[in-house]
Parts: sequence; C-alpha cells; structure tokens
Amino acid sequence: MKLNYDKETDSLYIHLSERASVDSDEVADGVVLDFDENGGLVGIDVQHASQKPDIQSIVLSHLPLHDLQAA
Amino acid sequence: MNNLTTTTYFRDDVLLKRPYIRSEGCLKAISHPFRREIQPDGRIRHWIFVDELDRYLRVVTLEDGVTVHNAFPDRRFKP
Repeated sequence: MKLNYDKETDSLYIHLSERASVDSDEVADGVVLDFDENGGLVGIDVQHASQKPDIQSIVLSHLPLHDLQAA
Repeated sequence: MNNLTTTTYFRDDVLLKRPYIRSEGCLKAISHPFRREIQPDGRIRHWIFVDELDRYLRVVTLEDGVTVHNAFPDRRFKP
C-alpha cells in the first residue's frame, strides 16, 4: 500500500495495490473509490484530505508489514 | 495526455490508477461540457458523455478552468 499526498492541492491517493482500475465510484463528496476488473478495491482518491478529521493521523495496529518507508 | 494541462496529482496518481481516462475526453469536457458547475472550493466540474465508458465523465479542473486535477466516470450524474 502506498499513500501519496499532494500538498499543493491537498489531495491524497491511497494505492491499495499496483493494479489499474477499470471503474470508479464517488462514495462521498471528494472521495472516489477505484475498482479493478474483478470489482476489487485498488485505490482511494481523497480531495481536501487535510479537512477529513479521520485521516489526520495514521495508526498501524497489528499489520503484517514487511516494509515501512517514509518518502 | 498531449495538450492537456494537469496537476501533478492527476498525472502521477489519478492517471496511473485510471488509464482508461483519455486526454480527448478531458479536452472535450473542458471545451464543450454538457454541464459545468463551480464547486464551493472554486474548482470547476465539467461533464461529458463518453461512449467508450457508456457513462458521463466528470472532469474537475482547478479554478483556472484549464488545469485538470481529477476525472472519473460519474455514476450519480443525472443529465
């Protein structure tokens, strides 16, 4: 999983996998989900991310991580 | 995406995930939108019907009306 935040536009893209999507759906104002050909969720597009209180912090709990990088 | 001005976010994240988005559709949405609305944040929504998607495409530009920042098939759009 990769989280890309663009400060200039306050946009956050959460890449849940490297697969491309074939369809998308806006589930809330400024939040678009991207799905692959099997209907699997492959990414989340969040606009005005800093205004979303739920994503102002990240808590990782019991994740089976093999790698954690800050870029 | 020749001749299309985009944000870095659109180029590096949105297009990477949505390769089915074509520059022609974005350019047409901006130049000849079926509908155009200004969001509360000043960004501008443009809708255009895309035959290949069989859906309306929403193209969001920055306040300048030219720089594409987001685009996706809009399932909820009601013509």
